[in-house]
Amino acid sequence: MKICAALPKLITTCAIVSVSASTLAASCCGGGASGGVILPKFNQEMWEMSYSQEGYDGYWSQERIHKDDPVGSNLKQTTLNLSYAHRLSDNWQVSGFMPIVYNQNHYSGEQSNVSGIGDSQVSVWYETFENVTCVYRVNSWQSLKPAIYFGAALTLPTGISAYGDRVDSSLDITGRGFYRLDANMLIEKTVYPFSLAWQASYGQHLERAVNEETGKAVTPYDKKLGDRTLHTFSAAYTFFLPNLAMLNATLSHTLLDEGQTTNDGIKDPASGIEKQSLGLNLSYSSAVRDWIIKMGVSQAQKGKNIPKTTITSLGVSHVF
Amino acid sequence: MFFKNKYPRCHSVAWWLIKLLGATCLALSMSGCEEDLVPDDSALEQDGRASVNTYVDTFSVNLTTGENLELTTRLETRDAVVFYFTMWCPICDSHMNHIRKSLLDAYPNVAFVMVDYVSGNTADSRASQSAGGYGSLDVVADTDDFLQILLQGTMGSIAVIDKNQVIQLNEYFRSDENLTRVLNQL
Repeated sequence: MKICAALPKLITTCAIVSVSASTLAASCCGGGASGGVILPKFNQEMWEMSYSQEGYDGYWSQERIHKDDPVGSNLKQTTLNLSYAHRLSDNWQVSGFMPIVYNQNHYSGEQSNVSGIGDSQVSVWYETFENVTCVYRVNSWQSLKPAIYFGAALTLPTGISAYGDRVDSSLDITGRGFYRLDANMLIEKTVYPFSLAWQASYGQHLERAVNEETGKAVTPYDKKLGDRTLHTFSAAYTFFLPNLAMLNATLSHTLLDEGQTTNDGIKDPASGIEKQSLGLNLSYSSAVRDWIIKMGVSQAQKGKNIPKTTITSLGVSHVF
Repeated sequence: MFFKNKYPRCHSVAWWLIKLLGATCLALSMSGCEEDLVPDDSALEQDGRASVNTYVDTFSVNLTTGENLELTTRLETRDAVVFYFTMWCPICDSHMNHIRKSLLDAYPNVAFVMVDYVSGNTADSRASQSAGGYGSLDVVADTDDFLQILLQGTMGSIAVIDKNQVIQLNEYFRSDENLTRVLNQL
């Protein structure tokens, strides 16, 4: 097969899982978070289905210089994301996330279309607050108390990675092939109509054995992707509509940093990624807040060792 | 109502666990991802790459400049030829940049040749080479997959053929430790 190895694609695939810009107003009307969704306070369960499309426009080199893709390339990745969250108790909730990925690639004159499950994630969240912290007016210092969530997430390598015999081309890849443990924190405050949020995440990939790469046997070795930090800062404005529905506009800035990969304990100087992206999301909540429709666009602004991508998404959530 | 204060906790937890288990089983059965969920560290019998210590007959391939690169001719003036397989991706760019910055001058007696195995024709290959800023490097437009088949190359593969036309290294370029060790022994 002539087409091969789009490592950038798999890196970005996994970035999608973690970079959900709609962290806003999680305690009030349901939001997104690293690896899935967060239940509003006092709701029991929630599901979300979203569709996203990712377009590629060259990449940033290790020296952070933007370079074009090969002539005639058109890489596109479509993802259907399925999420579910469930409340275990007043302050604890769990959630799961599974993407279904469809790659359509026209790369330097060659064509490839591949679909499969991506890397999944399960999360657990603890809410440090007992009541909804969104307020309409600041009456005392207690009104300024933010909603703080602490969480842990486990990424499962359920996708098709480069480290097996199911692919002979990395354009086929839908996952990275590594377990990852993340510690997450989300701080959010809403004083209607304004909201601010900060989501931070630190993740460690687990080392794994590799004896095959893109269908070719290799001398077995141990590989470990670098540690990963993710920060998303977001600000939002809520429009109250005449029918008691709400329209929420969120602007977010995401910073992603992943350290160098180690192979048998030796660092790979060509590895490690950085990415900064800007996102704009709109969400519409019905009058009873049980249905939420979301749409958004996120574009990478700067980076290192990573493609420049634009992700557009459309999703719907239902809260029980 | 927006806020629901009641939920049958025990029942819902059990029901949620059942649903989680079912969804996990479905996902795993659909993805067939056990090779990633439970990685295997045993050596596989068949190595897809052309073996080290294998003799290679001479060959001639086209550079993007329009010139031919003939193995025996190149080895008349150099101790070895290093072939690096690129698809002009970020990782490939990092590798090629490292080769250009750190290895070209350190090993003047070695010919470093980039192999573009994805471009469909020489003009596209030349355009990608120029766009990437690698106009000064020797790049083979491997449009007939000759080197890809001969060396079983894929993204990031690096192969060293010495003066005796014997393969001394053929692996994924994870670091230049193995490469420099081989080049130092030439």
